Amino acid sequence: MKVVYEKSRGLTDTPMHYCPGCTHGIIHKLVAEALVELDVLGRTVMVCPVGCAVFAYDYFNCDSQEAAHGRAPAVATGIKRVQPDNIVFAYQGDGDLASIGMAEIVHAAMRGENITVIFVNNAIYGMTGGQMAPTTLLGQPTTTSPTGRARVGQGAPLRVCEMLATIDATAYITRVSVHSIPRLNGAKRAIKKAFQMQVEKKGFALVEVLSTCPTNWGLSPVDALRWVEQNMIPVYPLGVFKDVDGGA
Amino acid sequence: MARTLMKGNEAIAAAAINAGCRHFFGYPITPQNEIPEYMARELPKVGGVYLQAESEVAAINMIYGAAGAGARVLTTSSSPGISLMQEGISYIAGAELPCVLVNVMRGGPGLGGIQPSQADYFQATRGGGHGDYRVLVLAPANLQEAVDLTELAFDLADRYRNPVMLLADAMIGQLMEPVELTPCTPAPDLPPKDWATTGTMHSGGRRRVINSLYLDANDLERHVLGLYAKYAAAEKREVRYELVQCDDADVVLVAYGTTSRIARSAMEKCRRLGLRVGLLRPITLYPFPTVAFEQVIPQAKSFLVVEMSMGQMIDDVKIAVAGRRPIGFYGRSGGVVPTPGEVVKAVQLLPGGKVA
Amino acid sequence: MIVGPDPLNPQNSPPLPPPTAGAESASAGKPEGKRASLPEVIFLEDFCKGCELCLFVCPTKVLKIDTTRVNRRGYYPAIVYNLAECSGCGSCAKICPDSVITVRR
Repeated sequence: MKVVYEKSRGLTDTPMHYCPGCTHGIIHKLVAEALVELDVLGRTVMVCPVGCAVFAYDYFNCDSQEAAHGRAPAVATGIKRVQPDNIVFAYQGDGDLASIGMAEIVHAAMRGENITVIFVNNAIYGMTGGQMAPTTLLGQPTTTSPTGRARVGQGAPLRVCEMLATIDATAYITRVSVHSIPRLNGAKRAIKKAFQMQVEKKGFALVEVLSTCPTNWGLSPVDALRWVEQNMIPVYPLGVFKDVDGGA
Repeated sequence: MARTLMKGNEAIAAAAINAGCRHFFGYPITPQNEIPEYMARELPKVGGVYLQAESEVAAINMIYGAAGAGARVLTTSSSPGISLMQEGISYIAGAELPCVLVNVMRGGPGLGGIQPSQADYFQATRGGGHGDYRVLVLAPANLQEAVDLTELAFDLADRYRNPVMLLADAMIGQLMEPVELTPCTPAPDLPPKDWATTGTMHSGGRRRVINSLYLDANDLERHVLGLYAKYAAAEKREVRYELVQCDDADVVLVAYGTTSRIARSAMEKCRRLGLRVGLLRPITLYPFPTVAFEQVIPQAKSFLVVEMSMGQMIDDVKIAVAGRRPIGFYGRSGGVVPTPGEVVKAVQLLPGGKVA
Repeated sequence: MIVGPDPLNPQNSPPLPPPTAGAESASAGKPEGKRASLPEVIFLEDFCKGCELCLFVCPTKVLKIDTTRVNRRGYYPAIVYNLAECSGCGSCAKICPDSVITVRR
């Protein structure tokens, strides 16, 4: 008998508080596995967001710092400049990264900070109860766009990967999903590569992971995975937008 | 280094490097730009890191991260930029991280002006950001003192695991005076930074978490009580002030920073006029030198608080005096610097301010 | 019976017992008799939130939600009900957000 799959030692035993079927749990696993497989867990420092993943510091088996809302890339920059040989990563949701933290992520990318950013995009503000996010789709109802997001007055969804890929000093920008096993496998490869970029000191790497929020979307966890495939991928195409290794 | 003529901003920056600061994150704002510019030139020479952040908001969060990683860190700004940093300062205090901040105060509110002011006293001493916390505040009156207090600030920050602010003003920032930087090492009895996030390979697997979130109210209260125990210790150990000619003074001037130099000149003018005037100069604004007032109240007839503001330190003076003596106020706002003559006229309006 | 860490009191958990062919969890898939070719699918059942993602990705549909009981968190847990058809691919374990499942083959 050999192990086909078991819980990663990059995660603690603390049960996760996320809603049933929330993709945070899946993404946490992929990140933890990548850190273990690259053998960098002991020199990793995680920067946690404000959002549902605020408690990520309880789930990862590494040192971590809780950042103010949106400021994780700045906090990560501070850590990395003091400890350039440590692996420093920021884990952020769509409010944290694409709303209040937009300046911080753009400038970390501009500076080519040698950090890794995991961007969890579920098109809504989960922790605060389902308000509109910059990444909310047109027509998508949320508690602050109750009749559906309207282009006039509320704008259209923000495509972060496409924007950041125009910044010269970025090294690896990619969008993935975890709504099926093949996509999950692809997400794992991308996340591992994004950390490998930091190990090799190649510059700024960001992986946007299309994610679900069953509770605030009002869908079952399985239906939420289907919603990602049917509604999010047409607006947020998967792919590699920048790769200094030539993979774009 | 021998005595050198330096600009205040540069002296503060040099003092920070002398105290072992090797990481600076900041953003340009008048009238303190000489500090980041000095750091940009000098830090790389000593293997340090200078980073111009995209805003003061980003800068203070870089400070948070770097402090959490165990480094001696400095950021500097002026009034509007310090406003932007308040969220980050609250987080730094809540997470019990050490850092040194410098506010080179300018006229406000809003975009205000670029001339000297002391209108950020409330912001500095009353937390400034949200929540129950304090920042240790040091107010130099000349450049040598600015150097000495900057070096002290790093030790205080490490000792109390709290932000420490040097409250200067545009005059101090732009003046040139001779300063001497003597070799400086951290105090020998500072606690080790075993809480810093250096990676679990350095801690035998023990995870360090830098955090200020306590969702259980009792846990948060316990945490805050711990912070205030530190502040109580600081109030006992760290009060600093200067008394000048207060033993026989009828009127005691109370002033800090640049204004204290003007008050000192006014005091000397008053003495030549036959008025018995002294000066009580707080050097730590938090913890406020309440004990200095106890020394002076027995013989003083009245106090005159002089500030470059509409009156902010005067509140702390009123608390310290507790109604026992009349307290007058003379202030200028907007960046206007008072003259000693104006202060003398104000003295003459007070009880004890006329020649008997 | 709790197998592994107690999700409601992680600091009071008994140590995880080493996996044996005789594991007593009601929801473990275990080899039957002398045929060692069936995979092992072990659930840390008190961590399960009944989200059904494992059912969704299972290629041979051998999982179901056991509605006859609730786990200590109050959810109906997922179980393997037809181990004979299990390919041991580990898809269920991979997608589980709470790392409930261990698969061996």
